Amino acid sequence: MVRNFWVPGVVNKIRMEITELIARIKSGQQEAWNMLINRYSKSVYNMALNFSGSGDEAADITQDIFLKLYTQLDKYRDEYNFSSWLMRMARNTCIDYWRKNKRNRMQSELDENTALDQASPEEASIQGNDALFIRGLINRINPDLRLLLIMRDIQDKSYQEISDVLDLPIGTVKSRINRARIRLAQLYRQQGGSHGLQ
Amino acid sequence: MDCSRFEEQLSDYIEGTLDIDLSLLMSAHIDTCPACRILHEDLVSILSGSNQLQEEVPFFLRNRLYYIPETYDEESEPVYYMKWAAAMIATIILFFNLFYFTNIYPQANRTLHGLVSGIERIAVETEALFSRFQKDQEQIVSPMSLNRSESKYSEQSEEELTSNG
Repeated sequence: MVRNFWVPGVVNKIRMEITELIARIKSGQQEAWNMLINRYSKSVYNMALNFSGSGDEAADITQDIFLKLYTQLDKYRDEYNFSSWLMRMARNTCIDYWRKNKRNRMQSELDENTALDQASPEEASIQGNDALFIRGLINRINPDLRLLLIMRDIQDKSYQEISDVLDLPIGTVKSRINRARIRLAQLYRQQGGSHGLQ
Repeated sequence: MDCSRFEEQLSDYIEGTLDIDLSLLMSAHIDTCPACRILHEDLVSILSGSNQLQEEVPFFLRNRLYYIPETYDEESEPVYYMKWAAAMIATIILFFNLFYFTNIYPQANRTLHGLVSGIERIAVETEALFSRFQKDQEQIVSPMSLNRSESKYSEQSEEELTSNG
């Protein structure tokens, strides 16, 4: 797959557009903010959705991310890659959210009577909802590996982009993604997943 | 090729980025090792449909996101901060009252009472100072007022004298 994003001319054009857009947002133009939301909300929401496994939690996380973005727009520098900068912010917010809710989540899992918002892989499997089934499995992977898997296999980001977001060498990114995939496949087998996402 | 080496190279094999020789070795391993074949099949099956995990942003969320500048700017107004400042002051007063009127923490109670009595002492001393200052002022002013009262008396006596003939 050819990624036009990495052609230098395209990168410069995108950076100029973003710089202009941010300047307009800072001057209070609502329309510019709406354009930014239209352009980036889907990738941020999908990262949050596949990370948390729940639509409600994903909505809260996405709102937090964009609120942070709005308050930290002054910190953005032209030389940054906006998409990577935003994704780093999204990644940190997801991890913070996970840490904050770790105790609650463990409590919920222990309490059998608690109605979980998200379907467990077993439930999803019975319902035959493949996307939910896989999302439930992804949710069981270590949060750092989970985010790598989401960025690479769901959001279709290149290893270079992921490396920029996480500030890690490409080799480390590749080996971690490989580890995450193997873990996912093992979980898939353990849960009796013979129905893939076809 | 052993299974751990196969696992290490699995992503590259699926993405087609391995060189031909290594790729052939991987294929041969898949043919001979049932566990690795299953692992490979499962992973290919999962990854082939991973784009189904992308969803559109719900309408309600998109609206919430559009309104972020408006809500944030409203919250940043001075009135918003003043409300919080008032709440904080009230909390501090309540907090001090708790230690002043109860003996939960005796040392704090003693300190607070000492502080209040100190303030009272300052108030009393200031009042005394003011009253002394007022008296001094009166003493300075009194000769003038005496003259005025004397003149009034003399005017009155003159009137009395004229009326009496």
